Amino acid sequence: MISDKALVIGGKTYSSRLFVGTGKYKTPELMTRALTASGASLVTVAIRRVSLTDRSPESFWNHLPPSMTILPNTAGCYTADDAMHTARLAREALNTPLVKLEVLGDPKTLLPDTVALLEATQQLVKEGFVVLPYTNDDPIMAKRLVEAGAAAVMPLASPIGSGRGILNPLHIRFIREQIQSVPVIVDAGVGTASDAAAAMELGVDGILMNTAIAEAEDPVLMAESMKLAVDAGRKAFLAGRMPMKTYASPSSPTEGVPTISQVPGGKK
Amino acid sequence: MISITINGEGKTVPRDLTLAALLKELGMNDRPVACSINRTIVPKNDFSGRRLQDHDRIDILQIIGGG
Repeated sequence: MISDKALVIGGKTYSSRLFVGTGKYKTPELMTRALTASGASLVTVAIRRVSLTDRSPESFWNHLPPSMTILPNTAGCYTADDAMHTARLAREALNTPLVKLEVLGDPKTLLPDTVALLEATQQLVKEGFVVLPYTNDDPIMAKRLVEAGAAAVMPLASPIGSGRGILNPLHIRFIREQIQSVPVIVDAGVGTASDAAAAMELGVDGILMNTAIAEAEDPVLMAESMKLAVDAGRKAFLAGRMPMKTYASPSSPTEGVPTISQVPGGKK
Repeated sequence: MISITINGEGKTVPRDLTLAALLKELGMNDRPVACSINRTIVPKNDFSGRRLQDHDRIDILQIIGGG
């Protein structure tokens, strides 16, 4: 059995391994109930120019549970410059060094532009940010991001909002095995509880999800399910699973079976 | 009076209005915001000291939901 260690990012300990996004909820009240049910200790937010007549940001802010750490993202940025500018604005607004760094390569797939991502990571680390880059499932890119000073790596399971679960579990496993100096958080593409549990069983340190909860028919119930799934998956990982075998291995002794028939093949 | 834009929308304000006073007038001084003027980020500490000038292009960034 492996003893558990705390989830620490940028010197701060997080009591929950489930991080949740705040987008796509039907109402702010529903968002609050779902976030609370999830038990998350960290939530992501976006930063935007909003029309002055739009009052919804006020309601949004008032509905964020005050105890949860806020992680601003650079969603919607397609260049390193835009992502860095957004990160700097978010740092000013929230007085936080944390940033979920997204530099997107394509609007249909929302896959990261890893070249620009690496460049932005290097620069923001120099400026004192605690950078959590949203990356793909390439173990070499993950390694490069850690070398650049990222405080965690966040490989996607599948495209943002697609709910397809982990497309490349072997690569997520590689990333976890090769990166031990910072947390590995699977971010994007989780669809339901088994996806979250499966990711945790691979040994990653946490999961970040948004659409899986916000677009469930019952987001509050799904948030509760995800809390349980992340916990279940983590415990299964720590418990050390049984080896997988090719052939059957009986669970009851083979000696002393009360037979009255002649078994074909001559076994008495 | 001077002419400025806020998030692309034109507005006329008194000369020497501070950024902090503008945010208060817009009802945005009670939650986290970021401001840039002519594409340069204004540190929060400078909001009360920064006086708006004619043709300033102000961007006010707010925190909203996102993944």
